[in-house]
Amino acid sequence: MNGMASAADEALANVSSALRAKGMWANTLLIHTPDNGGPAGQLSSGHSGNNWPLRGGKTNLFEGGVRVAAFVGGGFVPAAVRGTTLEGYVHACDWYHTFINLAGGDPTDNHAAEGLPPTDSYDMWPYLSGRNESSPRTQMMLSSEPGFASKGALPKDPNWNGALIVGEYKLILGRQTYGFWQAPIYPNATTNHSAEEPFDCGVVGCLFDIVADPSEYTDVASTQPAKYPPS
Amino acid sequence: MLATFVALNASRFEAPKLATDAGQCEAYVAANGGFLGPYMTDGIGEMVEVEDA
Repeated sequence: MNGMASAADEALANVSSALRAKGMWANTLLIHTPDNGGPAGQLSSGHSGNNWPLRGGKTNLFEGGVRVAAFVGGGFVPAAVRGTTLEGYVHACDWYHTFINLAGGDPTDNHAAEGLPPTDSYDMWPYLSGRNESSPRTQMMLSSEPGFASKGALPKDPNWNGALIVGEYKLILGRQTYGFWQAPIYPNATTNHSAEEPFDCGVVGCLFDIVADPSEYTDVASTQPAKYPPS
Repeated sequence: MLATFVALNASRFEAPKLATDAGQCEAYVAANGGFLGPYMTDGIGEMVEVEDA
């Protein structure tokens, strides 16, 4: 993982240097985003990633698997927001609306007649550029499940899963590939690999307050009746 | 939240699966020395031997 990160770092340096050399940097918006968290388990690329202090990692829906660090750069980024950090929600699908708006296009989906829902992508540029103080996104569907029929029937596949964030709460449903916590250095001599088993939130689901408890230590499904399950 | 999840999940778009043809794929591999995909132009996929610095 360290080698890959170094290679990615060098590649970004090469690209940004080339853009500067060509006089294109001032008009460049460079976005770097992972597709998922690091693979944390022995059976997930052999502990090659570390998401501590977040729980879980690649291939599951705990924060270690879905909460990633992204950044924007380039001369197109207003000087006032360079070097600042944003904590609001941005979903990968939001780049669709953002890019099209920046390019002057129309992101409206026109395939509703074919049975497609409208896109749920948001233009994030007002937020990223500092024009707006908060992200327009307050809800995120992290994973969908084909076995969930339109009427809400539970899937037959024992490996089904899904997750939804609404505000500060995240609902995780179904079987997760693993749900353990790593440590700043992981694995080490005292690592208990037996904890790397799949974790099943089942049909009842797990509910976490990912603002107060981003490491997802406490399942509050039973203590937050106002939040779950208001079906 | 569960109701919201179910409602959003029901909007999932299931793209129709394209038919696959293993014979056509193998013929392409044999004719092109590997599968680079039809979108790759000639030369991009050539192997370049690099010596260690």
